[in-house]
Order: sequence, then structure tokens, then C-alpha cells
Amino acid sequence: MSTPKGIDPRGPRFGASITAVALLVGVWLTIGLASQPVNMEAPGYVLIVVISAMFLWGVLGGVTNHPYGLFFAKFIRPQLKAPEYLESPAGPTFSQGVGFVVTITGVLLYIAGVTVALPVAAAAAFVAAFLNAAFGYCLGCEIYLLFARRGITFGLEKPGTPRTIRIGDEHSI
Amino acid sequence: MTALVAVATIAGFIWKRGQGRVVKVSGHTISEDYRTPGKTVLLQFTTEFCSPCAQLKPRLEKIANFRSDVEFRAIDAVEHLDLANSLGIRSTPTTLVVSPAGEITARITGVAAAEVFVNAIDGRPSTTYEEITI
Repeated sequence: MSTPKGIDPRGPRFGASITAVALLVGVWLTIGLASQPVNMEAPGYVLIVVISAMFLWGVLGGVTNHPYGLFFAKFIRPQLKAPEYLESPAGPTFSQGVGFVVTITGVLLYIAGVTVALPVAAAAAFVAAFLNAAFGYCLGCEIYLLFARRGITFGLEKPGTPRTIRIGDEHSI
Repeated sequence: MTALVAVATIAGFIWKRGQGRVVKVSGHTISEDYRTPGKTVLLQFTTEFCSPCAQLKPRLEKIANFRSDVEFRAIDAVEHLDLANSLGIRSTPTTLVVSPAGEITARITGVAAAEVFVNAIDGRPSTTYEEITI
């Protein structure tokens, strides 16, 4: 059995779709919180904390071990045609980190009393997730590329890890 | 909420518009190292970490396989930084259409349908087409 060497690029996009919907709900729930005292039991606050935790899961476990990634691999991927190519999980994993930084910043500023930060952070994260889900534009991956081209890979690219694999060259999911 | 979705959608369309944009180029020739006598060369600038480059590459290879007058070549933009800079390559994938005489006739930025590249090779306009001179 061959070792998995790349991920189906549609997996992260599937995850981004779920995240975008959750963040849109989060924006809707947190807009009202901007003009109120800090309430750490408010549904909007709790939702953004949960979304932030999901981003952190993606960072620590990698996108392949993220619940959305696992769901995609088990239930969605078998229904689809083989992808044209596989990609390194490094970019999408880094994107999870960007999402985490943005949302946790909003959460921490909200706790500190800057209540407007929560919907702003949710909105910023939503735009990035929406661009990935609807247009296939991974903003976090682009940021990762800027670093990677300078040799900074944050330990996400292990020696020998292929960045992209064409199906036909090596077939592994 | 609607405004937020609208802003994200507009941003997406702006990005999408830049993808597969064909620019007709004239007045620029490329060194003999990157041309093939008797063939039009599809010269794809790529980078190691570029996923869309891998998406595009098989399409260009397929064109080259189907047409005896076309050759496909991929160049790592980082390894050939001077060349990339001299040609104004700002992002990958960027594909140049190089005539048998070495003249760059078109530049296609991003990922596009095979038809766009075939049109560029044959000098036919695509929907995302503009004419400049560099």
C-alpha cells in the first residue's frame, strides 16, 4: 500500500464551504454584540470560538486529519471523479493557521472589550473562506507561497514531500 | 450581510477576471534556448509550490501531444529568476506563446481552458483578449 503523498484539492474547498457558511452565521450573530457589553455566553461569541478551535485543529492535525477533511475523504471523495492533480497539504494547512490567527484575534480583542473586533474578524475570515469555496482562490495558500518562495515553510514541507502530483505520475489520495 | 457577500463575490470576480487573461504581445523575442525551429513553443513559467501550475500543465501537454507544430516547455521561475524578471513574469502560472522565430506572440496569465491557448497559438482572439506591445 502506497503512502499518501498529496491531497485532493477539492477537499480543502469543501471544508472552506462549511467554514464560510458557519462564519456567515457568526457574522450575523456577532453584529449585535458590537454595541453591547462583553457577553461570553452569547451564541455568536461561542460560535466564533468554536470556529477558531476548528481552525486550530486544522493547524495542529493538518487538513487531512481535520473533521471536514475526514468527512470529505470518507463520504464525498468516493462519489467524485479522480482529481486532475494532487497538491501538498502545506498551503491549506497554513490557511487554517491564518484563519485561526484572524478569529482568535477577534475573540481576544472582544474579551478585552473591543467588541467590534469579533464581527470584523468573522467578516474577514468569511471573505477568505468564501473566496476559496466559491472561486477556488485560497488566500492563505497565496500567503504561504510568499513565505515558501523564500524558503520559509514553517515545518509544513517535510523533506521529500512533493508539492504537487499529477494523477498518472503517482496516484495516491 | 448582503453587502458582505456582495463584496466577497466582487473580489472573487475581480480575481477570476485576471485568470486566463490573454495578452497579445509584439516586439519581444526570446533567446534561442527557449525556442524550437519549426514549432510554436508554449513556455509555462511555474514554481515548485504552485498548485494551479500543476493543474494547467497537463492541458498544455495535451495540446502539444495533439499538435505536431506545438511544443510544451515548463520553466521554474525561481530557478530562472533573471529570465522571469526580464519578461515581467509576476505570477505563476504564466504561459508565453513563442513563435518558431522566437517572437513572443501572447502571454496567458493563470489557468485557462485549453481552447484559450489554442486560440492564442493560432492568433485567434479569445473573450479575454487585449493587445499590448512590450
